[in-house]
Amino acid sequence: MADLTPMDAAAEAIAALPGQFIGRPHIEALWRAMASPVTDLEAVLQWLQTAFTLDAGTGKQLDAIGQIVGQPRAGGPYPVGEADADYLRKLRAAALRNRSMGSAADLIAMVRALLSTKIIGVQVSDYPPAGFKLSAYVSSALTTAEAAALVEFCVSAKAAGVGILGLAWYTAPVFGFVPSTDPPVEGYGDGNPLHPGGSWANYIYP
Amino acid sequence: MPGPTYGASGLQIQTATEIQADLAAYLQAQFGVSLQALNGNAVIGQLVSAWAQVLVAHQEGIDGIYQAQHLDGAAGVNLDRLVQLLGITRNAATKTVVTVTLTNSDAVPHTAPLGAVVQHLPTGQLFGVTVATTVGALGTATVQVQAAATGPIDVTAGTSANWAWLSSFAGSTFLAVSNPAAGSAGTAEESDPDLRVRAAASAHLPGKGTVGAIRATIADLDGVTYCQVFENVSDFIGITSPVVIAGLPAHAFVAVAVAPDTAAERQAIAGVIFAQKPAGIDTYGNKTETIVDSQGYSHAVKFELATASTIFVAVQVVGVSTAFDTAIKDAIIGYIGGTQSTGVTVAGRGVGGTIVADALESMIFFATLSGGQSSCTGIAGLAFDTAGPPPINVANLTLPWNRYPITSGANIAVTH
Repeated sequence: MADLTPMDAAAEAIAALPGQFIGRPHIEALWRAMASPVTDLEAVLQWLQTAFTLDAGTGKQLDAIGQIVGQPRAGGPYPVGEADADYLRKLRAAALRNRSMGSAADLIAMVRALLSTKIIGVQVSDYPPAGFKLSAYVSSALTTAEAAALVEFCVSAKAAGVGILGLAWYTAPVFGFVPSTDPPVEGYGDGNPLHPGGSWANYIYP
Repeated sequence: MPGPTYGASGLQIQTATEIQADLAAYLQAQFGVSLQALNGNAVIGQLVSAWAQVLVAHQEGIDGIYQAQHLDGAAGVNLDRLVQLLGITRNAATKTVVTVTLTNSDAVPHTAPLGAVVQHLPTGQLFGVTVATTVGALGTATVQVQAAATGPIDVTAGTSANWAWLSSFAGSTFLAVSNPAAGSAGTAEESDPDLRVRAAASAHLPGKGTVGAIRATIADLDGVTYCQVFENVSDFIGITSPVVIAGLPAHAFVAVAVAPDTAAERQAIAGVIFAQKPAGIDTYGNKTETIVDSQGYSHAVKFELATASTIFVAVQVVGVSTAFDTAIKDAIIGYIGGTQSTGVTVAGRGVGGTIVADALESMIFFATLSGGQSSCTGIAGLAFDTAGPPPINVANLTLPWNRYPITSGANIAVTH
């Protein structure tokens, strides 16, 4: 099925007139007036084509998507609850959460979607038996709502019976023995080039 | 801007009057001052009116498409299509099945042929023999008969006085039919509200091993009307939140289902639990089934089949005629759970559900709506309890984690 393309209903209606009416100003004017509401409906159909998509949906349409993916808007339906931008991140994360098999890869992908505007890296460490810790490295502090969502989503996406022994977020950079960009870790050899040895050297030789 | 409005606040279609106003504005834009003359023209006026009606129909059609995208707005076949996005379909109606005993009073064998029709006299319903069954001379045999109609039929245990052959075959005068045990009642087609509830619980269906995925997969099985999963993520036995389950082992979960306690159903539930559960995580419950894995090894899979708790309700309404009694009872059943007078089975509060007195009162007021106004002017008394009749409790009632509430018209007393 072809996509809807914008049409000028009035022009098409006039073009479809029998020849003897073309060029008659009153007839054409009448036809143009009558066809204008069709252009209005065309605009609605154009909007409807993408209204229920994550890329173009807003407000109540996002609420409808939330019903399907099982993620109601926090604080109540539009326009009462959370802002579209925040809700949209949750909807994208919910789609991944719903498909989760509880693996570290699933959790990492979901947390990245949930905190997409701040996320720098995600680390999942196993703690047998049946436990793990998750650390999110973010560019700026999480809000209370973001932190709450992180907990809620991780609890839903992990495997049943498996315990979350730690769920934390850190604002980068973090010091470690080995430098890394994901998660961002400053090691012995990074940091200020004036002090070979990086952050650790800076600390010892300020 | 003329036309329907749309955007973040949704779609608002126009009335015929609003569309006519739009058309008048468009005509004015085209004809300017001569619009007054046009308005006086009967032909143009009729044209505008007729065209407005066409546009109203189109806008209503577009609104129907818009509403069909909403889980709470779509109904019927549109809801069927929407829930396909979640990987589920509406549960079809099932037929009542009864295991009957055929007793042959003749000195030679007789056969009840496949499809032979027998009538259950107390209900008037017709049943058909599912397997051709031969009964030896002066002997007995059992066979299942299935109702011709779908939906629940209440067949209690009964003697041969309750059954009569409608089909005429060689042994029909010698084979007496009786049913020592009650039948397994069929179900009506899943209603829109129930399908919406199940759809809401099915969002996790594509997943695997998570609490949500386990719950969604079990809930999607035929025969399962409700499912809840509780887990213990600690290294210690027992949980106290969100419910108290003292025996739930460490790093284990229990799936609580409302489903028929048949061998096939138990195997089906255990099968999806085994397919879903993470390796090394234990299961728990009052039922244990053996599942053989792809390597031929057996595994004991446990789960809990919830037990029904009959709820007795007594309500005294004020200002309502007895004509509303059935509607009131159906509303109460709709809230608590059970089969309404229309044959629709409703899941209600579910496992471990809480029956809230205020909510129950609201259902009663809604049930007595007439002309947009409730004819019920007050509720003089409302009690509901697992004990009774009569029930004594008037406070909110929460059931244990492995019990679910159910009631029926016979257990609800409406007084005036």
